[in-house]
Amino acid sequence: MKKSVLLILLLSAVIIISLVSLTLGKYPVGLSDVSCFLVLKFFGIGNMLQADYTFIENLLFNIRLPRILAAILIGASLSVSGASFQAMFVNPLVSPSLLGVLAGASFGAAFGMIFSKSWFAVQAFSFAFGFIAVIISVTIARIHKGNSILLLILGGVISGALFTSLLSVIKYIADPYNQLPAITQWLMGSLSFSDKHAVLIVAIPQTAGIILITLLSGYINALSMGDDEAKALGIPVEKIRLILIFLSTMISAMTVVIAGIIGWVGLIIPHIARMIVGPDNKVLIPACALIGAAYLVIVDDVSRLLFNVEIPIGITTSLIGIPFFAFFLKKARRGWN
Amino acid sequence: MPYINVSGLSFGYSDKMILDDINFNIKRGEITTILGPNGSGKSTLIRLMLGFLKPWKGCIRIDGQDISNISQRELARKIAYVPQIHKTAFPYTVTDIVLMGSIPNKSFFFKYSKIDLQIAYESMERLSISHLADRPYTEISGGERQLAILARALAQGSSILIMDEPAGGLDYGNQLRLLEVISNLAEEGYTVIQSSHSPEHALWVSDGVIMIKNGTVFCDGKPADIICNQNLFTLYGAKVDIVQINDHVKTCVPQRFSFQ
Repeated sequence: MKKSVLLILLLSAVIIISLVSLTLGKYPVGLSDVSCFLVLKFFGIGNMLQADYTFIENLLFNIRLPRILAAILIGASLSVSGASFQAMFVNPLVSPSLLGVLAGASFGAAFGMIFSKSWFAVQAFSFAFGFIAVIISVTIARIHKGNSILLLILGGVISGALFTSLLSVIKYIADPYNQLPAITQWLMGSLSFSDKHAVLIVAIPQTAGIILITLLSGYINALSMGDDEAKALGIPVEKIRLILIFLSTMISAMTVVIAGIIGWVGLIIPHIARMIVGPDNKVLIPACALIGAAYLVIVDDVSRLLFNVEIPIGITTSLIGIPFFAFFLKKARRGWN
Repeated sequence: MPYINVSGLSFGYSDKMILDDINFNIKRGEITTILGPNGSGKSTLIRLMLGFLKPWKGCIRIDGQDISNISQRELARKIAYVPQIHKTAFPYTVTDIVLMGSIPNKSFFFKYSKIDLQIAYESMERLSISHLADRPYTEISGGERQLAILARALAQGSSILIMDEPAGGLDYGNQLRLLEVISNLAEEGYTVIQSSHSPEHALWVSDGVIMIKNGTVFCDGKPADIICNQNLFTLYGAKVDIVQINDHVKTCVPQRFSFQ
């Protein structure tokens, strides 16, 4: 099948899954109600009781839609940065957390919860420390001359370990009745944190980041052939790699800002996408964005509907991701040795 | 004027000198083989010529132009690189790999065009690997992988091919086939520089040989003139006889086996 047709099919799948998800929830609103409402709202055709209209409008636009939008953005961002990291570091087993962004963002959020009452400060600290962790990794690699792949990975290990330890310090000094449970819950990740305004604020840079990475995907193929070959093709390897690291860090730090730590998506979605569209990053990167978006919307539906209480989505993604990974390990390491 | 001129080239890492005052010339359309023992500085010389490393002293000129004055991108239009045989982590198709050859001629944000695809197919056709176009690079043989990388070098459109032990790691048959391909390319006008561990390869296909030992050019010239038992002994510490097979061909035989 032509790759562009495949991408259009995937896009339609994301739209359909999102529309169906709009109707799913504790309060039953059928697909017919939603479509009646949408037709009335956007085309002014049909009629509805004023009370029902206001209620559905509130439910859809203030509660469900922001959450679905958040799931789409988070799924797409984590998968795209995972795919670009896997290619860039020439290793199909790495995830977006490789350079410490998630460790840094976790610490930042916990730090914000202890030292500030404002939710905005928590989000800002989370984003800032996600970036600081990656800057530390890159700086460590630079101090030792250049940003070769191996030095970057070692820098990431050091920076990740540093922020994991700092997070332990915060947990140790946190008030065990209020702050510690809040931190723990944040680390489990949940889309119930996502409020409409935060989602709308991150939506623009995240979408821009994903589009830019897609535009650079031709270089990503060449980078995965090794630095020397990429340089011999006239590519400014270090510059392109820093741009890609910057964009990936930005979009993955923003996922932590809106929903805490959601693991495994950035590792397994690129593998699923590679099975569907093949390894060529020019197709793989946009496919990852779409498949990641669809996946997280579905997983979020499961997390909030399966039991009476909502399960944190970070737990669900891990519980799905780990067996998947164990099962496909053989396929995943193919060509790696 | 020589096509490629290397003069007074010196390079090292931190305080250690790797290459010391290297001088040689290469003519257009010639195959030049760099011979030397492990650690003699062959790979470093190749990395300098590709612009990956900056010389401490001296310079490399192509058509009279110092390569340290031109960008990596512009250099990629003049020189294509064929590394030693390797695998990728991802099963890209051969076409995906050959297409990369168009990158030096694209703008910053690029998308491959129909023309790029056509160039890729033509390059594969020239090396008779069109049947591999849709095969994953990870699943073809070593010889085929090397031809795929060579096709990418042709797609790059540069007239100089620099190869780091291109036959290294290939089986006997594939080594010979690759030498044939290299010699055909030189006849078409490509200037080829390869490093090698086999003096025979130099005898069979080269127009020039540069022997490097301990970071200096120990000897350079035509293979028939300089590949002799004294020079090979000095270079490798191996006792080898050069045997004339017929008017055109010589080969190397270890002395230990010559008189049995």
